[in-house]
Amino acid sequence: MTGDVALYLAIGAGLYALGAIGFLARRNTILMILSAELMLHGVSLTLVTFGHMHATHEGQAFTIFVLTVAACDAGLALSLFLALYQKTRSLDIDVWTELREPDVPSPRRETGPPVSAEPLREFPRLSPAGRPPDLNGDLQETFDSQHSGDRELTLTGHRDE
Amino acid sequence: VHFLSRPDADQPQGTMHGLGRALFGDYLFAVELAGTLLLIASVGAIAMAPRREQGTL
Repeated sequence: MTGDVALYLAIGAGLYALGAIGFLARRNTILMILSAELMLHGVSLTLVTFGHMHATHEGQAFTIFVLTVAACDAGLALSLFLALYQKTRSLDIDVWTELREPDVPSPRRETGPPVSAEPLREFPRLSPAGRPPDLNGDLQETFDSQHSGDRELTLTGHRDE
Repeated sequence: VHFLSRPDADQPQGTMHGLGRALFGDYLFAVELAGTLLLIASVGAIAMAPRREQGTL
């Protein structure tokens, strides 16, 4: 870590920005908690770089505390999401908006009327060609004659026993 | 112009000895607090997690 410290600070800021964007853009709870972890680790990299710049161990020591808090965070969040998934069979963060008082309006932004799906296009059908099979007629007889051999085989098998 | 401070080349850096001195010397109370926080968080996670049915691993 003898190179340019500004590069490490830039990488830490980039990790934090990516985590913030993921936390704000994603609606999946597990991806949101992963984005929060990404933000924490961007801060950790910045702390280590600052500690290196000041030639002290405080940055690394504080990074270990950040990792401890991140471990507590991840454990609690995963058990919470497990409980939520078993209740609602969904990992969407919008499920949590149901946990409000009845007189409080929904925090969800109104996104306008739902877009109506296009009606299914009618595809051209092939006209039926050839003679439709008549299963009650002679075809059934040929089916029986083909499988009568099987019946004889099983009969001979029984005879051998 | 160096707008960022430069590391001193004299002091030893990145040794586990110095890190252990910092953690268990200056920050001993914070280490104990972090361990207590981990214990409370694990107890809370186990308490919050949904129960399995009887007989399933």
